[in-house]
Amino acid sequence: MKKIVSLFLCLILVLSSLTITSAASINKYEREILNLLNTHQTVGTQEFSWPASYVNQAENYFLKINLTKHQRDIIVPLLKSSYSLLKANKDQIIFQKGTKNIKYMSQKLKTKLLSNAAKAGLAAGLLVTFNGRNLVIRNKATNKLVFSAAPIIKVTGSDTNYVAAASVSAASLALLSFFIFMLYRRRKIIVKENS
Amino acid sequence: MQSNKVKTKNNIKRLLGFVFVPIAFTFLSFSIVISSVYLVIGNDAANSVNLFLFKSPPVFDAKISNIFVPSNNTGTYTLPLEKVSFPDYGNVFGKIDIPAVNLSSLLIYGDDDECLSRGAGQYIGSFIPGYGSTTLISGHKNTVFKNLKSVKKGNTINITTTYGIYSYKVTKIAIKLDSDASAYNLETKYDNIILYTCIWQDTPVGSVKMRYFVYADYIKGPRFIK
Repeated sequence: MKKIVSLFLCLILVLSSLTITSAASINKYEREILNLLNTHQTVGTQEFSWPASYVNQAENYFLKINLTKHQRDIIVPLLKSSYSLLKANKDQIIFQKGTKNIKYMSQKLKTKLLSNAAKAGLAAGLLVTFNGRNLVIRNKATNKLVFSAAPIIKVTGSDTNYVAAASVSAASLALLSFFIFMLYRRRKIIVKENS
Repeated sequence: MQSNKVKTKNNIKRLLGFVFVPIAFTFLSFSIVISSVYLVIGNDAANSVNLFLFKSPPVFDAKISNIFVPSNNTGTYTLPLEKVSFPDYGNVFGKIDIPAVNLSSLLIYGDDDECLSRGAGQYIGSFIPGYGSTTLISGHKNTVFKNLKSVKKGNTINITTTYGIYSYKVTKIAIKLDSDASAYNLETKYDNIILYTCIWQDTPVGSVKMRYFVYADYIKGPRFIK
C-alpha cells in the first residue's frame, strides 16, 4: 500500500516542483489537492485513505512553493485518473485477500503507474528513485529529499543485532571447534579400545 | 557382564558430556564475547562489526547545511509564513534544549542516519514548530538524547529557531514499540512536540524495538498565519 501511495504522491510532487525559497501559505490549488488526498477512496469493497505522514510531506512541500492553476490542472486530473485506474483494476490489485500490498497488483498496472511517475518526474525536475526498500523522491537540481516512504520511527540507538550476530558467530565457532576436538578424542578412544 | 555395564555407564557419561558440556561451553562463550564487547571494547567493536553485517543499507541522504540563526524573540505572536525560510532536507534550522536535564542539541530537518549523527532530527512528515500540529523529533540515545531518560513530567522543552523561540511543557512519558502507531498522532490541530529515542533498558543482544517517547504541549512561541 505504501508503495502505491508513494507512486500517487510522486505524481503530485513531481508536477509541482519549483525553486524553493521561503515558506508560503497553502493556496487554494494546493488545498484542493490536499483535500483530495484526505478524501477516503473506495476500491472494490474497501475504503482507503492516504496516511497522514504522506499527506503531511506533500503539505510541507506545498509550503515551499506556490502551485499555479496550470500545475493544478495537470495534477488533479492525473490524480483522479490514477484513482480510476486503481478502481478499474480492483479485482487484481491491492485489497485482494484482505491485504494491502503492491505484490497483488499486476505488473502491467505497476509499470503504468511507475512510468507515469517517472515521466512526470523528469518533466518536473524531480527524481523518482527506489532505494531497495522504499520509494524516495528528490529534487533533481538540489538532490534534496522531498518524500520518503521510510518508516516513521527511526532507529535511534546502537543496533545490537550486529553485536548479536558477532556473538553468535564467535560462540558457534567455539562450539564447532569443541565438537571437532571431541570427535577427534572419541575417535582416538575408539581406536584405542579396538586395538 | 560387569564390563558391559561399565561400558554402558561410560557411554552414558560420554553422551551426557556431548550434551551438557557444549551447552555450558556455549554459555561461557557468550558471556566472554558479550563481556568483551560491552565492557572492554564497547561501541567501537559494535561499529566495526556494523561495517560487515549490514541488516539494511544505511541512509545518508542528507547533506547537512546550516540555516540556523538564533532568534531573540521570546514572545507569542503571529507570523506570516512568507517571512519564514522553510528548511530543506538536511538543514539545521534550530536548537532544542531541556535545561532540567542539561540536554542541548541542534535541530535538523530530516531524520536519516546522517541527520541523526549530527543532532536531533525532525521527521519530514510532521510540521515545524508553530505550524499548529505535531513536531516529531528523534535523537540517538547515546549522544544527543542521552539525558532524555531523566526528563520528568512538567519539565520545559525549549526550541529556538530562526523565526522564534518556543516553549513546551512535558505532559506524558511512555515506552512503546517502534511499530506502534498509537505512539504519535500526526493529524493534531494544536502545537505539540514528541521526542523519542531508543530505550536504555535493552538486553545486550537483540534488536532495539522499544522507544522512549516524551510528549509536550505548546506554552509559547510565534504561530503561523496560514
